[in-house]
Amino acid sequence: MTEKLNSVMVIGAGISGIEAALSLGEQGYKVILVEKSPSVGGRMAQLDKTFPTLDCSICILAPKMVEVSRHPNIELLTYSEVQKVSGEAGKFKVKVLKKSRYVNTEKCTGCGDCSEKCPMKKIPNEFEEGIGLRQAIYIPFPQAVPRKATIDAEKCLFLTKGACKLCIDACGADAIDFEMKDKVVEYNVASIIVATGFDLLDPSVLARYHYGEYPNVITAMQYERLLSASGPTEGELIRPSDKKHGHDIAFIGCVGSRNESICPYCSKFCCMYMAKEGVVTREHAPDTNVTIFFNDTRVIGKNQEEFIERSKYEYKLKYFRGIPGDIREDPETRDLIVKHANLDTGEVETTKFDLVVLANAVIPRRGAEKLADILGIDLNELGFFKTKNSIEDLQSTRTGIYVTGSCQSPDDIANSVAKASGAAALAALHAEPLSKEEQIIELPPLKIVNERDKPRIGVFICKCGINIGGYMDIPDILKYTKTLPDVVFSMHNKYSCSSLTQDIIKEKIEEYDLNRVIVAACTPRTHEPLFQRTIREAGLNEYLFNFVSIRELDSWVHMKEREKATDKAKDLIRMGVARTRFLKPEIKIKGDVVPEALIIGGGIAGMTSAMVIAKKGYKVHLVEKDDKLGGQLNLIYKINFDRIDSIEFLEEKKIELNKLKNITTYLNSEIFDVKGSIGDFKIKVKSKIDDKISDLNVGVIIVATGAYEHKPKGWYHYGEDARVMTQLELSVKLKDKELKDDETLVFIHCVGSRQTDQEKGVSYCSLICCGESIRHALYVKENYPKSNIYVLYRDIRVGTDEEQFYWEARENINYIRFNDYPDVDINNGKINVRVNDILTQINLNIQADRVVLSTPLVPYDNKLLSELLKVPRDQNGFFLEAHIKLRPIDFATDGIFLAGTSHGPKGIADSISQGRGAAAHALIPLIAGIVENEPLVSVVNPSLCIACQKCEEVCNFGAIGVNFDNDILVSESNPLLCKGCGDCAAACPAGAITMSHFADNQLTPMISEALKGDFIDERPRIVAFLCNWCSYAGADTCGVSRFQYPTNIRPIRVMCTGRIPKSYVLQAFLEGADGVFIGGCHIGDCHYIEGNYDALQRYNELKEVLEKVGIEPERFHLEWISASEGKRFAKVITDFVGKIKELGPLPKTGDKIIPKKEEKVKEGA
Amino acid sequence: MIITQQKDINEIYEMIKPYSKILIAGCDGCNQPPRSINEAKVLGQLLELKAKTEGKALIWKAITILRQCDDRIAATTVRPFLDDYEAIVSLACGLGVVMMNKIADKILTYPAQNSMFGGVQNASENDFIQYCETCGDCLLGVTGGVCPIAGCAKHLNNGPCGGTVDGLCEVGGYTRPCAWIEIYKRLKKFDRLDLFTKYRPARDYRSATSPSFIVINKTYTNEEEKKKEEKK
Repeated sequence: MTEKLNSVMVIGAGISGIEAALSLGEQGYKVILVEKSPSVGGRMAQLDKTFPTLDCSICILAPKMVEVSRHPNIELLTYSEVQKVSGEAGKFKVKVLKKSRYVNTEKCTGCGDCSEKCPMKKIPNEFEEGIGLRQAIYIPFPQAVPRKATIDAEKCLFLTKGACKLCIDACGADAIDFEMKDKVVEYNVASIIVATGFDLLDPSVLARYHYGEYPNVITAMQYERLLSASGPTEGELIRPSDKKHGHDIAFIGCVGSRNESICPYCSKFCCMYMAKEGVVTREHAPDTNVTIFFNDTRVIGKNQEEFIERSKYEYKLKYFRGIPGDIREDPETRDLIVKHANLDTGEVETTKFDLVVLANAVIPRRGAEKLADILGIDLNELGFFKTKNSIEDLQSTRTGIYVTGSCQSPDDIANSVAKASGAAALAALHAEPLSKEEQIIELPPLKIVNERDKPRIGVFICKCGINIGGYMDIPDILKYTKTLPDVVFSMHNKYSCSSLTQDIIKEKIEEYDLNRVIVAACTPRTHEPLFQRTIREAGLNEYLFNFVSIRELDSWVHMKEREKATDKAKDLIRMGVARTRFLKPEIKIKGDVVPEALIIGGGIAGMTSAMVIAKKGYKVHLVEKDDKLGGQLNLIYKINFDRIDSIEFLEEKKIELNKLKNITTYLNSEIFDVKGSIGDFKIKVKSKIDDKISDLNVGVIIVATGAYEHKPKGWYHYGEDARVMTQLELSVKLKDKELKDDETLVFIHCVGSRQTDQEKGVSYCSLICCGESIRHALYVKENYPKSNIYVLYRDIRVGTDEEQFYWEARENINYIRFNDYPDVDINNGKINVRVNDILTQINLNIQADRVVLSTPLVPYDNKLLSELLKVPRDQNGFFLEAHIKLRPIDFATDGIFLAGTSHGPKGIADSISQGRGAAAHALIPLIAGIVENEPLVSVVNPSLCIACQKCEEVCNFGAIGVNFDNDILVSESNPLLCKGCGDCAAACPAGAITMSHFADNQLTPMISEALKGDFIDERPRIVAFLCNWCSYAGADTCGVSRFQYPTNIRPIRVMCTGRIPKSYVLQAFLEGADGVFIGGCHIGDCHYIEGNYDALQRYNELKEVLEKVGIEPERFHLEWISASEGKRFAKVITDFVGKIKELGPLPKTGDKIIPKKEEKVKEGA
Repeated sequence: MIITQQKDINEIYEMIKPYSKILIAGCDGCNQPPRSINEAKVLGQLLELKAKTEGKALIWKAITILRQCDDRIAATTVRPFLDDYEAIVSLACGLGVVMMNKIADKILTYPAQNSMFGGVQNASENDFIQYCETCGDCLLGVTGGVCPIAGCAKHLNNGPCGGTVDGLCEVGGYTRPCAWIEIYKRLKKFDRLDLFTKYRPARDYRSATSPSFIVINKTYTNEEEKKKEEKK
């Protein structure tokens, strides 16, 4: 056997491509990620919020974008296109065209000075969907990765007309190079993943909606940009014609979708985003009326049915069934007049709207044909990439090329993410991961820095061209810095991030024997890793570095206050020095991984996972509670509309599985004990037959316990009369050919699903029953042509490629939509079904021979398993993933993954891709052989711990808690599971928990120093604690956008607002703060799941007592600010400073009392 | 566990107003929620802040004691500080406050907490419930583990009374479950309704006299005691 290649290519860096690249890169494969546009991020970066949790889209995506650009195994090629593919699976040769940006990305600092000077300012910005403008030299959006300028060759004055070059003068970094040429580079890769995403239909093809003609008719993507806080209107909901706020907004669904002559398929996610945009609109402006016109509300994933219901009842969105025929414009007001049917009254109504938003169809990416041609793969009849069949929806028509995300079929973010990991698993089968030696980067030995050694700090102050230097007095700051304690060297640089400065930093570390380094420059969020690497290369531990942000947090937001900005910079540097003095070297936490995997559940998801892992050579234990593998597949007759025989398919899979000798199957067995954590789980499996116990030791666990069809006792005489059956029971009858011709069958949908009353059934939609019902109806009709079928339904929800079968079914099957559930009576052996048809408003009586019920998919009772594994379940009993959008196949606890219907209802194809995806994630620690964690973790001092378990209460990752197996009962932190939020340290009543790198002794001096500044304006002095992921990021966005706010705040970055104990706030007030501000992620958006809830709890408690001790509660303020809300950050700070100014300085009785304080130490007994 | 609630900050401040140097003593013992060193520190900061707004200076120190209700532990911990401070504020339950006053009798110890009841913590809900009234005559063996003394508004020994409707108690407006209905359900579940129908005599109130004390009697004779003394 020849050696396999290490490389895999991923085409397209939207969320699906990013996920596939990260999944492969983490497993140790070399990834070449090719993106056509100048930045990664794709469609998700454009979105304002994501459904159903209303997470801020860019906030949750940006960390992934940054990660993909930094990953050592990922080569990121932005502004590049695939030109030619030759060879075959295992050894493809791919030619990639790297288009010239005319900007040297090595030199470009992303400061944006060039764009400011560019005379071509009126170019419609593609990222803003044409409603915002950009320059010819531009960075597409503030969070772009890489944050480098690009020259649009078609618009640039110099490149088109030969005159201008203003940008060359503006660029202080000398990065612009008009001589730069396109380059073609050839790569050898083992396999290719295509994730090129989708485009949107130009709605002007539907002339009746007058898109492009009436200014107030816009697309949903444009609306998304209007809502976005970092969009062209900064989140103001203003309509294009007169820039006035819209109060009556209509959304029209299926614009081009489900239309035989335009897009004969369903675009899948429009119903959900209409509901989302409606809800966000109502949250933005509660006085706005939102109306949604739809055909069927279609949900495509977990918790989405509940979201639609909430949008109706909680947010009062008005839903009208039926798409309006046309839109007219009032020529004077430019209001829009929409004629539509109201099925409740049976009348045609005319309603006036300020703004109409069109949910235009998802279409294949423009150029998909060309790419298909280059790749040698086929397109399906809809124009998306064709797959092998309906269950192998990740495999293209060519071996070695896989497709994921919406380029294969429109899909939401969560599915795209799961599929991406699945595609990564398949692509990896052709390749071999890089060996450990190949992944090691040679570094000089670490210099030993003892905690007792006197700190020797070097401070490097960046001028960032004029971006910092132009707005503050750098020489003065430098002079001041030299006076600070323990600072032995200090200098300023033109650009600290240039490679020249990196060399200088290394030199100075050597020359002055520095043991700690500070860079005062832009923001740690983008540049901290660069400087950490630099000092590591000079032999200093990465954690002896501290970043002081004087651009985003100072020069860019105080552009007109030179003196105050200078003063603030001095304070910020002094605070930085105060923290740096106490920095300690921290070493990455490592643990070994047992190279075996446990898979719980032997259905198709579990079997798929097992095979993927086994094929990579690791031992797999597959535990199944029943006496055979295959789960629900054993009960199904034919799969999907291509009618794959279920039993045949299952047999094939079983044969494939049995061939893999490293899979051990435990039938009739259950897990009854779990100990340990990632890398080293100790499991006891018990056989139900002979009570034999097997002891397993595994590194990772995949949970795939599945779900089953609910038996609807109490509904429609089910269980009393054999003629009333479920869909699966009908499937068995079809298989055994037990039906007679000339029968009347009544199908009733949503029996026990989508119920608002808990007693009657479940609240969610099972997603697969509509397709199953259509499939069965068509099958009955084909084999028993004289049958009469009535389908009673609420909404028909089918996938993109299933729409045509629905249309086919409607031709000779009676579809009747109901609002009120039908009645079924059995009298003298006759079944009578009564239903009110909402379309005709007529009561129908149907004499039926059989009644077939579509019932929900319900999870098995996993209470015990969830307690053993310490993983949560949701309100419906399904397992709860780490993040509903971006981590659908991971649990919050590392080392445990989930797949299939135990996560939520889904079809076989999705279960298989999740199974593969979970396997890909599980392979990451298995291949690495070790698990690593950043050393930002909690450390428990056992001599102080009182075993009160408060830490266990607040930890969302099962990383800390009292270990009852120990002789001494104290809390233990598992550094491999700890995510570093610091919530436990703030919650600990005994002061026993320290957060490394964000320790009390590092943060409290910052608070003290923050309040010792001159504060040129004297007052007010405000300490602001900002969480790293949202509010600090929001402050950065504010800086990048140059929104100005008063200079009075002194920010302190913490990883999570949950890190802030009450004592920090009180310390600030005691030492002279006039106000304390806390900024965190919006509720529900917390990077650490629920850290901000704990912050809110402490905030509310403290606010109440502050009032009692005589401090106005207004002086203490907490605000949720997301990463995109830059403008809001400025406004919130301006308002807060204004309020504190009104209240005056603290204490009101005079400044003289400064009580002498003794050091507070704990005295143990 | 003894469940406590912190007093209003102003009430504590009023108590310590005459002093300028105070010692604040947390307790790592059973009292819930835990009031250890960090809680003591926050209380100190709040009192100092209050003093500051009134134009006064307050010097304080925060310590914590493993169990304030244990005289030996408390005494060894607090002794080194007694000369430097004018008063102690204790974050323990009432027992701790009494004990501190006994062992540190040079200065006064003031309570920062109200002791509520002996109860359990429902960690997932973060609430505290009184399940036992320490009545001194335990009935739990015949009531299926549900206490009618703590759970029944009338402390009935033989229930339920006529004030129960649909399993809810009339006291508190039918919001709380009737303990005797719960007892019935439990005993039925375990097929021990024989215990339910049995008459239970009136409670022995002698064991509930206040103040109560228990002496663990020596089991050896006076002569043996004498030998022990001699050996010393």
